[in-house]
Amino acid sequence: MAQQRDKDNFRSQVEDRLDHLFQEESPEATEEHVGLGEHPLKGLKAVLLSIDWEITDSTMDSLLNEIKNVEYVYSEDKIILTFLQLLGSIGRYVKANKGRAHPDATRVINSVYEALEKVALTEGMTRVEKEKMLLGEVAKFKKLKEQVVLRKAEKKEPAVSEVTPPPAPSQAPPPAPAPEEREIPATESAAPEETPVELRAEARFAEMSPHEAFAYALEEIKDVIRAEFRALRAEIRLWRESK
Amino acid sequence: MAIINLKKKEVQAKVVYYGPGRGGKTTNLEYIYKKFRSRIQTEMVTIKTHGDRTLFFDFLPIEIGRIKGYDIRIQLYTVPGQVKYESTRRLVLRGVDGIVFVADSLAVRRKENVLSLKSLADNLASYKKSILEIPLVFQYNKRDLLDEGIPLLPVEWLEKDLNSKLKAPSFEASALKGPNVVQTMKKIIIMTIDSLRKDLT
Amino acid sequence: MDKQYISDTDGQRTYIFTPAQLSKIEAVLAEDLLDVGVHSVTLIDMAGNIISTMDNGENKHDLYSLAALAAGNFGAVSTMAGLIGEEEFSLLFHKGKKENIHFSKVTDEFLLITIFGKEVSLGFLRLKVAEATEKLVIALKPGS
Repeated sequence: MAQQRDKDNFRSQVEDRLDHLFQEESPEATEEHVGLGEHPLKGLKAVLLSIDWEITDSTMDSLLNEIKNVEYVYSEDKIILTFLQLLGSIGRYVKANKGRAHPDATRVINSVYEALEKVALTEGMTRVEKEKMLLGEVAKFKKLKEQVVLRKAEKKEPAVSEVTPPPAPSQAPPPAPAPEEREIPATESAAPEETPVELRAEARFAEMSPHEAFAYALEEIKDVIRAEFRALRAEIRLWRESK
Repeated sequence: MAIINLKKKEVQAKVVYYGPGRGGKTTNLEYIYKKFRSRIQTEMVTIKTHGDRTLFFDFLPIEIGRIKGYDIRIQLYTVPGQVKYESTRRLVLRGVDGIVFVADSLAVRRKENVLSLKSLADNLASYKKSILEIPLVFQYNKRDLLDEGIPLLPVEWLEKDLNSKLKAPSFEASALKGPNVVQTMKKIIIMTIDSLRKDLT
Repeated sequence: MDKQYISDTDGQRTYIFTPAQLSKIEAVLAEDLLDVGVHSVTLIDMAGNIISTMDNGENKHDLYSLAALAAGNFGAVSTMAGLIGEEEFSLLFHKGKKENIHFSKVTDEFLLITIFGKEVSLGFLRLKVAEATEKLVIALKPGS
């Protein structure tokens, strides 16, 4: 009996050791790497790769066209649409300014696309997670915009006008969150030190119309995003109240 | 083509060690590099094959220091000697200001010396340079092998084959052991800088 | 004292750079390239001599060896282009894990070597190099 126990003991030790040595990775550890295959983003990715190598009117036009194509495919998905709007806005900026564009512009384009790809391809991503990613990219976009403005202020170069009317928000904000509207800018705005820059920038926009058009377009995008989040918060509140 | 930087008061010139394969060009640079390691701040660059034969070039920059208010920097290069690397030799010769022709004293290499000198003249001509005008020094290498009883070309033969028209300075040397390696280098540097002198005044 | 010779192809011996010329060159390298985030930029001649070099203060490389190798590399690649019937290649670029090198011809005599990292995309760098090249060609003209 004791012998049998010893044998079992030994065997389990060996089994344990083998399990330890040849541990297979847990399913959660490996990321789901879904290849693009025939995915709608394939064309967009290809164009972005070409922009990494070469920035010309031709490559930038390809980017903007491809964005339009993808917008059509995802016309019901507001989060993805917003991602695409960010891409389009920076794309137009780079096309117009070429060598005078801010060096970080292409980096932000790539970052936005990577986030977009993750949001579009990762199965089971919650809406909250998607919005978190979107917010992250919006922050980068906002930072880029500030850097562009600062740079122009330093160099006193005329900006190229950017009129990028984004699609109107399809969901009107419910009346209840009205008091929130004033709060949102406060909560979303950056640290106090940055506000003077914003004001300085705004003042300059008033003076120069190309700047104004560009900034106006960017503000519109921000408004779209804010409206979406307002609506979502209202939904969540309603859902909670119903429980 | 030497570069004179009037702002930094700097002169850069290029000296190329040319000659038939296995003649001792790389050995010259290696000797200089080893001997003056403490004084030469930078590394010697070599692009070699697995068999230790120069594939592209060797490169050794030498800072002479300040002369007449100018910091002089001489970049020593070698070319690959094997016949098949003719295009590479031409590339390395680009912008050359001074040449050391390292001839192989081995009797069996007599023809190769002559052919190599001819290729030098042709390659220089492709850059509209004349072998008759560019600063040039001959080094008759491997003279140490005489003591080992190996048949060598007499210096008179080498002079006649290679130097009868050019009448350039020449040195009997042993790149492996050291005699006249440094003297050869000094001579070509002096001649090269001399040829640039009028542009420095 | 500001005399100059035109370049090498006529068998001339030297190329002299005046202080004014070099200042102009340095300004172009600093404003068009260094300021957008490249790590270092060097203007060399096809013999491997360094005309001017600027860097961002980090990571000192052995520029003299790099210059010699770059000239040789560019020369070799240009010859290869000829062998396959091309006049020249429009892109000579080596990609590393952290650092990349881009080569660009500035006239037949000079070469611009740019070392950069992830901060700048190749596409954007090529735009800036093209701009810088236009200005350098003017600065390199004798009598400028």
